[in-house]
Amino acid sequence: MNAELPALWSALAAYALAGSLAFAGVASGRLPERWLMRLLLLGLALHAFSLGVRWERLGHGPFLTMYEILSSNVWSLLAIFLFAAWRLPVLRPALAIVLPLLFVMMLWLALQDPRAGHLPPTYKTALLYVHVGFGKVFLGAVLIAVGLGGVVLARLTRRGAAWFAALPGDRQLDELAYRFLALALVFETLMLIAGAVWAQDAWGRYWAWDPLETWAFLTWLMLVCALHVRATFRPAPPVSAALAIGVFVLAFLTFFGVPFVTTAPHQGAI
Amino acid sequence: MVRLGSTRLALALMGLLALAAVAASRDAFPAGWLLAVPLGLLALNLACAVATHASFRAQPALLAFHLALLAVVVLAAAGRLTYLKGTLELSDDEEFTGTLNSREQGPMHGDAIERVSFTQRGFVVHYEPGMKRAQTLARIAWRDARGALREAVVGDDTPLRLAGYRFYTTPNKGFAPEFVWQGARGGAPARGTVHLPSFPAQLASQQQEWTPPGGSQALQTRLELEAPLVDLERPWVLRAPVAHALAVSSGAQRVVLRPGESHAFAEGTLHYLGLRMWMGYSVFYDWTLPWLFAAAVLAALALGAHYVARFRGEPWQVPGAAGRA
Repeated sequence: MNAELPALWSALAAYALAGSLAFAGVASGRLPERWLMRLLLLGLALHAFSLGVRWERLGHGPFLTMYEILSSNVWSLLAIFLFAAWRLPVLRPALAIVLPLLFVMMLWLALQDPRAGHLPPTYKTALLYVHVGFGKVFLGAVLIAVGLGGVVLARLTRRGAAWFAALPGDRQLDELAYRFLALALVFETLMLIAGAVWAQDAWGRYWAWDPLETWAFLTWLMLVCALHVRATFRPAPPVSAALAIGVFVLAFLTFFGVPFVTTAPHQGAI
Repeated sequence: MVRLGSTRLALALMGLLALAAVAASRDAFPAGWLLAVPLGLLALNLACAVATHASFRAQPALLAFHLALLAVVVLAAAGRLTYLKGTLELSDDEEFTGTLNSREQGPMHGDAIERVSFTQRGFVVHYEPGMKRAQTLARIAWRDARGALREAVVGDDTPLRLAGYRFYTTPNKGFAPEFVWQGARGGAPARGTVHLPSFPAQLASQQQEWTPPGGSQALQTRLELEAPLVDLERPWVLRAPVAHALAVSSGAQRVVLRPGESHAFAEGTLHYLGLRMWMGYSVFYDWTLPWLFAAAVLAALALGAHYVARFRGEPWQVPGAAGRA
C-alpha cells in the first residue's frame, strides 16, 4: 500500500492538534510550548516522509500540480516557522495566528487531486530547485512577519491584548517583523534572479511579463514599498502589520492564485 | 512637498511602475514604452538621492545595492535597444543562412545574424504516454571562425549559441516532403521541401497548399500514413514514417506518390524524393544578459550585507518591554 497519503493525513492531523493546542494555550495564558513544538515536529516528519515517498515514486520534486505545490509549501512554511521559533522563542505564541492561515492551505490541499502531472523537459534542471527554494524561504519569512503583525493587530482588542500580554511590546515585535520582511526581500530578489536565468534557458527569454512574472514583480514592488515606508516614516506598528499582511496576501495570490487561473508557462503547459 | 531624490516620490513612482507592469502584461499595450517612463523616473530619482543623501555614502552596502539597481535599469534599457527575437524553420540538412520567418528587434540591433550559419542534421523528439512531449534532441553542425566543422546536440533548455545568438528548439515541428520540380518550359530543376503543419499538434490536418517555383497553379499535398505514428499508451519517438504516401492534387487531378515516384502536371513534373522533418527554432539575442545577471546578484548580495550590518542586537528582548508599547 502506498504510504504517501496516510502519512500526509497523519501529518495534517498532527498540525490540526498543534493548532488547537496553540489556540487553547494562548487563550488560557499557558502555552504548552514544548508539546506544541514536538507535535509540529512529528507532523513535519510525517509530511516529509509523504513528500519523500512521492518524490521517489515520480522522480521529481513536488512543484508541478497544485496538490504538490500546496503540500510542499505547507511543509516548508511550517518548517521555516518552526526553525525560527526554535531560535526565537518569542515567535511561538504567534503560531496561534499562523496555523489558522496554514489550515486554509491544508483544506485546499485536501480537496486537490493527488495524481501525478507531466514533467516538462525544461523542468529537469537544478535551477528550478534553486528558484523554488528561494521562493519558499521568501514566503516563510513573510509568514513570520504576518504572525508578528497579527499579534500586534490582535492586541488592538481587549481579548487579544490579554492573550498576547506576555509578549514584548508592539514596537519590539514590529522591529522583529521588519527584519523578517527584509530577509524576505533578499530571498525574493534571489528567487526572481534564479527564475529569470531558468526562463532564459527554458523559454528563450528571461522576462516576458507573463501573469506569474507580473504578479511576482508586483509582490517584490510591494515588499520594497513596505520596507521603505517602515524605514522612512516609522509608522505605528498596526500600520506596519497591515503592510506585512498586504505583502503576504499578494504573495499568496501570486504563488497559489495565478498558477491556478492561467495557462502561462509556469504552469508547465508547454 | 514631493521633491526629486525623496522617498515619497520613489513610493509614488513605484505605484506608477506597478500600474505600468499590469498594463505591460496585457498584449494590447507596448510594454517597453509603458515601463520606460516610470523606470526612467525612478532611476533619475534614485540617482538624485544617491548624489544628495549623505546616508547612502555612510552605508556602503546600501549604496552598492542601489547602484546595482541603477545598473539593472540601464542594462535592461540597453538590452531593449539592441535585442532580437525571431523564429525560423529548418528541414533536415538545410542550412540556416540568416533569414528569419519573423523578427522583432531593438532599433540599434545590427545585421550580424545574416552572417550566422548552421545546418540542422536531424532531430528526435521523445514522447511519454498520453502525447506528452519529453526530450528534444537536435543535431547541429557549423563552421567556427577558423573554418573547422563543429557539431553539437541542442534542445529544450540547451540552446545553440553562435555569435551571441541563442537558437532554441520549439514544440513547433513536423514533416517536410522533399521534391524536385521541373518546369514544363524547361530551365533548371528546383529542389526543396514543403513544411506540413506542426505534428502532432495538428495530427488530423497534415496537408499543405503550395505553388511550385515559376508555376501559377497551387498543389494540394496531403500526407497519408499507413500505420498510426502516435502511441497514447506507450512512450514513442517522433520520426519520419517509412510507410506513407503523398496525395497531391491540382484542380481535379489527384495522384498518390511514394518516395522516388514522379508525376507530370500541366505546368511541370513533380518528383517526390522522400519525407524529411522540419524543426521550428526561436532565436534570441541580448548582449546584456551576463551583465544583468551580475548586477542583479550584486544587488541581492549588497542588500543582504546591508541588513546583516544593520540588524545587530535583539531589541525585542529588552527587559520589561512586554505588552503594547
